[in-house]
Amino acid sequence: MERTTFNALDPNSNVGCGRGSGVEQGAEETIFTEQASDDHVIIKDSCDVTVTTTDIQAAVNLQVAIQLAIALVLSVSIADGSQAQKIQQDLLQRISTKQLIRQKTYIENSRGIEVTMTDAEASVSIQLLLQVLLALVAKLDVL
Amino acid sequence: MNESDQLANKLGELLLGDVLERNGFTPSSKRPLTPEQKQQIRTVLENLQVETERFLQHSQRTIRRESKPNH
Repeated sequence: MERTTFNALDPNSNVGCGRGSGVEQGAEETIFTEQASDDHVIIKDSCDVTVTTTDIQAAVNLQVAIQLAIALVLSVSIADGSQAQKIQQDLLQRISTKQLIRQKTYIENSRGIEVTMTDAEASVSIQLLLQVLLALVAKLDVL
Repeated sequence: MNESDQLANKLGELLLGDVLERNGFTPSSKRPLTPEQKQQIRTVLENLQVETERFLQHSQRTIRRESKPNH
């Protein structure tokens, strides 16, 4: 007896690609995640895949902007330049994240998949940076 | 302000207080700012708050993908 395997890209394999077509019983889908150093979604031999992820580039840009603002406030508000620099280094070293947590997700031979990944650490890091900046402005009576 | 904001606020204050103290910061360490400098900082701060709020609310992007057979 010939064994048939599900092929997500074959319109004759169960139902064709397209929303609402559904997946029949017996279809094989492979979705697994592992912690890795890259933020990557790898899709192979699949269709109708929708991936929603945290915008990592926006997170990095915002983190850098807030860190620069902290450096700026320290630089203009503290009379001793070397003291300002030491405080800046100490502060940013303590609150900077070494690397955003990233996941690698593999989607293979799948159809009609929706994946949502949220980088919670990015949000927390940005919130903390902003709070430090606000506390700094208040502490130094800048405004 | 929700709980996570309050927590971040408190953590930020504690961290900052500790760093300033360790590095010998005192009120006399401060340098007076001109009104122009204060306005510049105010503008930067407001922009960053807006951008942070925008990021926290809309930090996700959606991509729809289809792949070709990998033969």
